Amino acid sequence: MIANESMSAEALIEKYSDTVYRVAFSRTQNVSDAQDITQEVFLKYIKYTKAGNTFRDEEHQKAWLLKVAVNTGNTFVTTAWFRHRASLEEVGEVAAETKEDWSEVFDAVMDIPEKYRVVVHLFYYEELSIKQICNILNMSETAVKSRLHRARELLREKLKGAEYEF
Amino acid sequence: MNFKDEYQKSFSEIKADENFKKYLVAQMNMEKKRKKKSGYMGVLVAAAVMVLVVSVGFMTGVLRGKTNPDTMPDGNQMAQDTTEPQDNISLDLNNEMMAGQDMSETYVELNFSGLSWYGDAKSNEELLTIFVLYMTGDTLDKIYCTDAENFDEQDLMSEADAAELVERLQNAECTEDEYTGEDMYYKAVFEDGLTIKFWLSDKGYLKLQDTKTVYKVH
Repeated sequence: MIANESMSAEALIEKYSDTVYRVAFSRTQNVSDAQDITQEVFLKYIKYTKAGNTFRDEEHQKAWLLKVAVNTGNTFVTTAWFRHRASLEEVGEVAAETKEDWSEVFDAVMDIPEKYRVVVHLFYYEELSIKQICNILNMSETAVKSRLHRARELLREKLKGAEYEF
Repeated sequence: MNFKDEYQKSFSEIKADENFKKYLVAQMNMEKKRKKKSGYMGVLVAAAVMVLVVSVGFMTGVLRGKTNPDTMPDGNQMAQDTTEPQDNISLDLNNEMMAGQDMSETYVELNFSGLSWYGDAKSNEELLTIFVLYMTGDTLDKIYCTDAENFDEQDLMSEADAAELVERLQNAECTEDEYTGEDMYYKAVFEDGLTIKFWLSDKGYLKLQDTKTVYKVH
């Protein structure tokens, strides 16, 4: 059992902030939005642990943070502000992040629909099992497998010419 | 080439800014220091709210009975209205609450908790108006949002996001369009225990629980 409230904020941020931030970034593709989501996740963490909730182990703690990051991201991308900003990006009024620096693979992942990006990120970056992803996304195993399958198809299409093993 | 290796390599460059991390730590420490509400005071506040809700419910029932006794449904009628509401609308009823009670008790419970939120709505427009009135009213407590059908505490929307959603819902209107887009599930919880579930797609289509009517949110 992790004594949550005794874990310092510094230690928690050092350990998990990049993990949460990456999930947020994979959703929003934007630094400031990812920061907003990350901040909200950790404030929720404090409230959650202050209420007396504990985690079984580090894996449980990380899974909780990932789940909250995904859910907070879900809420965030449906807000009017986010959709307004996204539409401005489409017409070029707001500069997107520096895409020219991204690798071919990164670019391909960022180019697939958002619902597939999360599954790809959790599976390939966080190396979670299908079952763990099901728990985080609150989805059935079939639905997760189906999203992953579809994501791979889309990525193969985008990465034509380069032979990647999935 | 291995996709996973390439993806991990490229994504490992995505990191939270060090200054942002420091800011986060400060925010968290501030949140930690914020005093918890006293348990005793919490109980008192909850009791006061409960008394207020029950009083308002009671007074509403008394006034309705006095001013228009002919329209006051009997217990059987009210129970029927709740389980098979007009226009195929149903509510998130707690069946355990209903079990084992006679109809007069059921009527009192329902009247007090204000479960017949749709009132006398007979058209989709009226239903929408009542829904928006509820969502913009003072009794809205919290809203949950998730892309799956189950709601838990992690799905609780922040006050700012909830306010923004409510603002959007005020622009909803009836449409002949088909409901399309990726679903997000919402559950609005009111201070008197009433819950209203609804769906909102990324294309701006709104559906209220158990209704087939589609609304468009701009």
